[in-house]
Amino acid sequence: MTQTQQIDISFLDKCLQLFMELGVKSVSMQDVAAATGTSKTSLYDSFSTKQELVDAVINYDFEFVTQNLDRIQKNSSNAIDELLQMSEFIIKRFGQCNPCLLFDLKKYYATSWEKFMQLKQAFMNQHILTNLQRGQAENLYRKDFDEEIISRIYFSKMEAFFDDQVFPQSRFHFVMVHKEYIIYHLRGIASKKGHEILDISLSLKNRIA
Amino acid sequence: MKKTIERDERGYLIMPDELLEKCAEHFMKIGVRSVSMDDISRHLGISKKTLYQYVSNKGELLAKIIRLKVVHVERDLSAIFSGSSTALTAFMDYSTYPLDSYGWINPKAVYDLKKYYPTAWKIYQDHLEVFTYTIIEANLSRGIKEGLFRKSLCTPVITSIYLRTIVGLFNSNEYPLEKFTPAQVMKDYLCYHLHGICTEKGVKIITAACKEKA
Repeated sequence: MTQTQQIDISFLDKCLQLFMELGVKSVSMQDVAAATGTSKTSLYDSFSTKQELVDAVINYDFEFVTQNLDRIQKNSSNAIDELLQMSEFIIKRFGQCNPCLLFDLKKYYATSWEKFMQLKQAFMNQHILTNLQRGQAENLYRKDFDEEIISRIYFSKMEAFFDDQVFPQSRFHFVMVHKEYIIYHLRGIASKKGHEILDISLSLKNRIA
Repeated sequence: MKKTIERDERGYLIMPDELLEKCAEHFMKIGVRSVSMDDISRHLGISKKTLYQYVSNKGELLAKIIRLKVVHVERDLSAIFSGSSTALTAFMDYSTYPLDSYGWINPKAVYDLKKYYPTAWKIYQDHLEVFTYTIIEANLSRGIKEGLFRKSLCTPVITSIYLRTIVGLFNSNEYPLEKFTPAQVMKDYLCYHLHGICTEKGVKIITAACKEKA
């Protein structure tokens, strides 16, 4: 979509920050104009509806996340390191997110939300699968399970993390659930050697722990 | 001497378990929505008039069936979890419990119950969210005390993850894994789960079982 490509990345980033802080419903186009230092007229030149803006921001976020996760995959020293870095990144990005944002998207922008979840899940599923294969090749993960089964199970949880009925925001914070899940996943698949590396990574760097 | 027939507080006859079991079979075979009260009375070999002496409508009948199943399953599971020597053996015994003893866990029936028969559905939901949740969480705590499960586990999170996964495994939409058998999927998940929660001591116990083929 040429229009999106022409739109200033920093503009989309500012919008994303705004939505992550305040949600979507309560933010008007006026608010967006003020926060990004654009005039309402030029805003409506680029986006005829708020829906279009929301979609553009979602696409921007998706691009940003995928580029970073690809980078992490390339730069990590092993499969476990990759997953831990990935988790830190995701926690940092979504941990600051106002729960209203997800609630608003699901309720008022259901099609955008659907699209977002599908993109994300397809991407994550692929990443988890390649991570499993990498870890098995590095002898850091066991080989007594099928990678496709485990990666499907992993990615099916993703929606649950955002499902208020499974993990109500009043009781479970996204960050806490995500941290717990990554450890559960890594311990669930690690070989003896993998467990040793995990013990070191978690305690030395005092990472997710 | 004729047996005294018991009635409930509204004057309805108390339906014997054997009749409820027969109904359950029929519903699960044909489907919750498509079975009529006519079908049921024919299947039971009683008149429709008699059937309506037991229940006022189909929803009520389904609720009685679900309640009966829940009582049986809860009795069985309580025995399994309290009767085992360790939390790990309790969990491993539980994982071999035939979940089709529920008799209603086929996804279409669950979907229909949820949508059209909320009273019956609520009984099943409570069973899952209250009874099963409590017993699984208690098992985790026990295992932690026994040094078999990791001390740092956040039991509410792990319990919710576990339940959500198990329920999801019966919903074939979530796992369109045609190339794998349900037994294989379940086994891989259970081993993954156990490795995920066990201490070194616990892992030693499960390693052999997990290396076996499903």
